[in-house]
Amino acid sequence: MVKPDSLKPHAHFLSYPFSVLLSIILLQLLSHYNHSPLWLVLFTASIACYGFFTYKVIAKRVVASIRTMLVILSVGIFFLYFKVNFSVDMAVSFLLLTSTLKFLELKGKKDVTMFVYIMLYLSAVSFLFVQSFIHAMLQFILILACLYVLLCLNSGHYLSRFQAPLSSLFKAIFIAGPIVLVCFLFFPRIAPLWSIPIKAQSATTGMTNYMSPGDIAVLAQSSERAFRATFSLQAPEKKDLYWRGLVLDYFDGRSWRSSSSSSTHQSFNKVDLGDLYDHGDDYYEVMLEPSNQPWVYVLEPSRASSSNVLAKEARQFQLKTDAIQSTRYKMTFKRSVSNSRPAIPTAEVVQDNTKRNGVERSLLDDLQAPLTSNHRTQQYIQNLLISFPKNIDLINHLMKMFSEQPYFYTLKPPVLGENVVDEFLFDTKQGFCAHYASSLAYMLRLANIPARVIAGYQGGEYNKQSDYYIIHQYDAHAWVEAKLPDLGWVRLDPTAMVAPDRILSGLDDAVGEQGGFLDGSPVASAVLKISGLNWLRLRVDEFNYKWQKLVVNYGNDEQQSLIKKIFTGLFPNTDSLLRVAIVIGGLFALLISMILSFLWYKRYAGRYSNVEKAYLVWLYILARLSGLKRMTGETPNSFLVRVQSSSHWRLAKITEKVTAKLEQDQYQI
Amino acid sequence: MKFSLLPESISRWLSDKSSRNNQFTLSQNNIYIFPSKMGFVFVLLIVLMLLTAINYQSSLIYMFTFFIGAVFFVSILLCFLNMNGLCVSSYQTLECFEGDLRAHAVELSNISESSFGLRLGVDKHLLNEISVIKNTKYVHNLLLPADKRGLHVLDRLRIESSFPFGFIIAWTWLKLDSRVLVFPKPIEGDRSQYGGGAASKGNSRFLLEDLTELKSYQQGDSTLRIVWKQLAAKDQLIIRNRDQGVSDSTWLTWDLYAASSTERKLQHLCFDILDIHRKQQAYGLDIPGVLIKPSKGELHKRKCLKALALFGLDAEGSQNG
Repeated sequence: MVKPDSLKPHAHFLSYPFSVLLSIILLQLLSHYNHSPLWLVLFTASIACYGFFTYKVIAKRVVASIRTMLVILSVGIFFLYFKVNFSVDMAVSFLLLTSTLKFLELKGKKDVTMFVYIMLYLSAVSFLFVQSFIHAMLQFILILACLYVLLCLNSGHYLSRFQAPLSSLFKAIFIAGPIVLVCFLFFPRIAPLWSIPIKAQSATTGMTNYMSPGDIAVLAQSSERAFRATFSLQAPEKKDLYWRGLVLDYFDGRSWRSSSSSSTHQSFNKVDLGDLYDHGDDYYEVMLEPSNQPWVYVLEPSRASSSNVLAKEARQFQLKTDAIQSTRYKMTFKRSVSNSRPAIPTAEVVQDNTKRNGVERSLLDDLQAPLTSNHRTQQYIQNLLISFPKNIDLINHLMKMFSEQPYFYTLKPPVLGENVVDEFLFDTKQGFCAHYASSLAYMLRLANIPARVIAGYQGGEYNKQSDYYIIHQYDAHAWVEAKLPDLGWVRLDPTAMVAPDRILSGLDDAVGEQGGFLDGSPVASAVLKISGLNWLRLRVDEFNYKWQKLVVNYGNDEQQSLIKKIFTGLFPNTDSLLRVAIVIGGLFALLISMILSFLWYKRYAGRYSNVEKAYLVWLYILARLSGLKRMTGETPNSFLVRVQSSSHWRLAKITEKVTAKLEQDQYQI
Repeated sequence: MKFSLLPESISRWLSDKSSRNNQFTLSQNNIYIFPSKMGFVFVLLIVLMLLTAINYQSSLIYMFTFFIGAVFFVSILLCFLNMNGLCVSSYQTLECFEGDLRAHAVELSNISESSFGLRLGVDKHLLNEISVIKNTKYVHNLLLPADKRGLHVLDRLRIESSFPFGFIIAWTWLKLDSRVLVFPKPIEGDRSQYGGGAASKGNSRFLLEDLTELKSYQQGDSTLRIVWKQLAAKDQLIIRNRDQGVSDSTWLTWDLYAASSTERKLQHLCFDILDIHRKQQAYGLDIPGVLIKPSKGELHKRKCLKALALFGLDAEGSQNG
């Protein structure tokens, strides 16, 4: 027996849509560009283009010896770069590299099919790293390209006549659409089975767990989003939006750090969508941007209502895992009418003595203060303690000091030397929020008042159209909490004393003409200033937020509430058992009717042409209207004569037309 | 190469029971459908994606997986519709000689839908890829080796297609009534040593030149009977007369050949028939069981060759393959 392949050795080879395969690789590189090393992207792109060039221009494949050399070279570099720490991004890079090398020697139909499958998997995995709408569209195009290649492989030698097979591609997608939607909405979400770290190493963004004076000013250069928040009821006023992040409780004389963090936190980076709990109507939901850190930002006083957030000591909250993707969490307000308000400007009781929640800690930690430097400040507090023996008076004095003495709020403070607090308080008197918070907390501790620095965000940009807040990196802020024996923990914000504008309207206004705001990103600051562009920016952000909330973060809870909504919406007045029966019955009926109609379609699909079908339908209608039926064996023409001879002249006219069409269809070809 | 599990064997068994027919229209009665090998690999890919989606709780990967999965399911329908309504009928076939390729002409058409990427063949061998565009007729010659003389009936015709994406393969087994008569291979045999043969051959040629009645060509006469020498000499078309003397005919008999085997004898006979036919002489065939009186012409030749082809075999459906 002669094998057909040996008769025409290159017939298959030539029929691959080679340029589509190349563009698939390039699109793939584009979508993995963010988390792959640059050398790998450039290397694979040039290999792919080289293979394409030799094939299309020189009409040859790459020589075997060069291929072997490329394989050895690339695998060598790969393992030198990645070592052997296994993570998803390493696996992705490896797949990209090997499949590009395979691209140089695709031979049979099987090879190309496997190649396309690998490309599809790579596309799916890319969603672990990027979840934006644009990225999703890119992957959709990639799917289309992959399916197109498969279509070409399986539709014979009709590549030149694109239209016909391509229409079945669109038909497939069109029918698939509703199935995808239903599956996406109702497919049960299952808990993770095991975990492999997604990224081997990743740069963190946003807050860090230590704060030197001037650190937060760096964040003021960035217009990136930190998170977005939606309130179920009335949001607090902008000046009360203190997004509490980290508690910095250890001071080494220069910078503040968190003494507890990272010790209990498992920094294994996997994904945890978490479940939402219902703790009342008054809640807010935060969509955290990926920061590769576990910090979450909450308003006081609230409790965690999603399972991916853990309560830590000192009323801190943390994610169970690092936020490697945009992460959603829900917090419920525990608003209580505050009966006691301390007689201190800006102060707010954040936890009174009566309530205890979370993990309690020793107050000694909040009194730690190094005495080896900043001697002038120590002396100053000693003197003040004599004139203000009561805590509350001392605090009042210190707060007023910031507003009464010529302290200056600036993003460009002078560089400080050894004794940071001394120099800032008595010499330069210029600083950003970190300077004020840091020195105030230190002074309070020296005065034997438990105090700590809180790092977080303050304020936020309100998006009126969709009623949510955007909190940017430049909203980063630091303030102080102090414990008063009769009131409990009280929030103190020295920055509000120096520059009230910062709290009331935002950093841009507070810094004003002196500059420094968004100096690092001129484009972003320009966009903020041109109203049209700013409007556009807000709309785009709105769309992205909706995309993230509705699609990217569609999880178990969203699914359950949707099902509940559909149930109660459809049958408001029936009990639950009946509802279940109705739904199951309905689905069953739908299934049966689908099968029946499909069988019917199958039976008649190939038998009659469209004109014949139309004729048969007309015969059926005619029989219903007039009772005239075509006998078996009666030709359409003789039947027409019979209809014409009957009393239904209107129907006869239509029958005449239909019969003429039929005749034309039957005898013209 | 193809996935051969239970469904394949079931379809084969079912097609064995069905009757031979001249024309088939493909429908759910004779189309079988099953995932291909690559289709199973694709299902594995979907499972892998789903695991990834579950593990990393990524709703976008969920969506991606559902999309790919839905395309898989839709391709089942599309694969069926691609074949559905395809009309397959046997076309007039030609004869051939042993050792050549016999051509079974199959006519394909589809009025409801275009059929892409069809592969036609017998028993999974020699699958040829063609596409049938809607409302056009397509005649495809299935070329099969003719390694034995006799009447060859097309064995199970297999039509398969993995359109649109290759995940699903739809196929059908048809017992199409397509027959090709295969004549013995013409091999020159030595029959001169058996007395009279060579002489009579020489004589007959001699006689032929002299005794043939000639008459001028008229429209409708066969061009085969034109005497070209006369054209050169007299510049007019002269033909041999239709009725020629039986006397100058050659009898090809079974005992004329020295070859020991029956097949070899038949091959020699075949060669001589063709040879004498080319020389436009009359000949008769006398082999065991068959006696064909001397005559000449296409029909006579075909009659003789058919007798040779079917020698020792029963006339109907003697050879399958």
